[in-house]
Amino acid sequence: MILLGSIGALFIALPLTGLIARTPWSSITDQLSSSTALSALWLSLGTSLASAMVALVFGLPLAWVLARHRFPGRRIVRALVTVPLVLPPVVAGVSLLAIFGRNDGLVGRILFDWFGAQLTFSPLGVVVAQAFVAMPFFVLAAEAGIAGVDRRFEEVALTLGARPRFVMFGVVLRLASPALRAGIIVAWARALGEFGATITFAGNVEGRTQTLPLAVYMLLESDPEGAFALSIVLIAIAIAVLVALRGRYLGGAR
Amino acid sequence: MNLQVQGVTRVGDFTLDIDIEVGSETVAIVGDNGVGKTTLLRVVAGLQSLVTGQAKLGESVLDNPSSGLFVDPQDRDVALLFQDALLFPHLNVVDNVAFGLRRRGVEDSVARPAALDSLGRFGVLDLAERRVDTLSGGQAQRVALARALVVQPRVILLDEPFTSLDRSSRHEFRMMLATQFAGLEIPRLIVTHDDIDISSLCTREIVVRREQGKPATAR
Repeated sequence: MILLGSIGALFIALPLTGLIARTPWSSITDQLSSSTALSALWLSLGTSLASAMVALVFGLPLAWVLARHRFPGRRIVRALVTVPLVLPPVVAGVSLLAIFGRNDGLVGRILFDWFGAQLTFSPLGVVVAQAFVAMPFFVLAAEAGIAGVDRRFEEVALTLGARPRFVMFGVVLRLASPALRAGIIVAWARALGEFGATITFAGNVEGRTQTLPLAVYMLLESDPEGAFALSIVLIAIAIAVLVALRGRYLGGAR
Repeated sequence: MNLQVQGVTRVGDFTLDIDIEVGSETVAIVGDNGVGKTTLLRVVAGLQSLVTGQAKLGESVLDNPSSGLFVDPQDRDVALLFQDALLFPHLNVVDNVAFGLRRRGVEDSVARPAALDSLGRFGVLDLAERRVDTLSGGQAQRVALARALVVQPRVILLDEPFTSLDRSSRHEFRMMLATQFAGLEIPRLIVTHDDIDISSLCTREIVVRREQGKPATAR
């Protein structure tokens, strides 16, 4: 038992150690300030935050309806929401192309013909790809959080004279806020690390759609040191996310 | 103040036929578990509507489906207490008590002293700044009562308020209710299984019962 467990722990720890060992610490600032790295950093930051916002704006009402209303087809909607969780990201990208592609996507053609807007090969396309794979993480967390708020809190608040809008925002969502916060952080982290759907749907154009993970993959060929430097940035962010969520997943100090 | 409910309510395929009239008195609602006692309270609070009939409080109609009239729970001035105190965990004790006043637009300079005053009347003024998760069951239930009564409700509904309390705080809370209720000229309905509650607090009983194959009744 202990032996197998140790192998398991090593299996996770070793690659991380390897990465830290290979990181060009002396030249890391130079590596990170190369134009490829900088544009990928800023693009990733912007698109992942935008995707998290999309997940929040559309995911929260969805989570509310799933948690608070019983309607025919609810289970189907719920199952549908979880599909991007298990879908291979490349397939997610192909599905997005099928609907939002400029030439043969149903919606994509309309967008281009009517508004001259093109999602593929654009930062907006990156946001679409990231939001598609990241939103379920938020919706599921938010749904569980909202469903976990005792309905009698709403009823007490109503009988005390609170308007329904206040009951929703000031009581239920307020009480569910730890789950909402955790959900949005996980969704954002997922968007930041998104690779497959992005490269399939939005492409790999430096400065426009080449996010951090894409830049790492590309630099591995031409400039491995740069790839390691960027990977360290991604790991640092991942650890920061874990710290932000501590207690929730690490079960530690509360 | 007179509370009058005559009519039928439905929850899924459960039907409850109500015909009650309660003056300024404390009335026990008795009956077996799951027979519809809580449903009766929810109708009065406006959390559940009638399908036929009418609910009236004093001269004002609360619910009348045939004329399409329905007063929302937030406009009924009905106090509702559950078995659990259900204090809002994100607010401290005094802010819980001030909640109803603030939601009615009462300014903070008035709401806070009023909340403190209410806490004082229930003997828990010293808890004012405490977090609610540090209170005992009996303390929490007193704070819940202070919160419900500070807005001067027109009806008080208590759904098994003693069930989660231990014996000694049960007795204390019962005495406190008796004292507080004595000066209130409003209908008070209390769901309970306890004969001592009934004999020490209530003037009479409303019985909720269900016979095989018939809708449940509250009389």
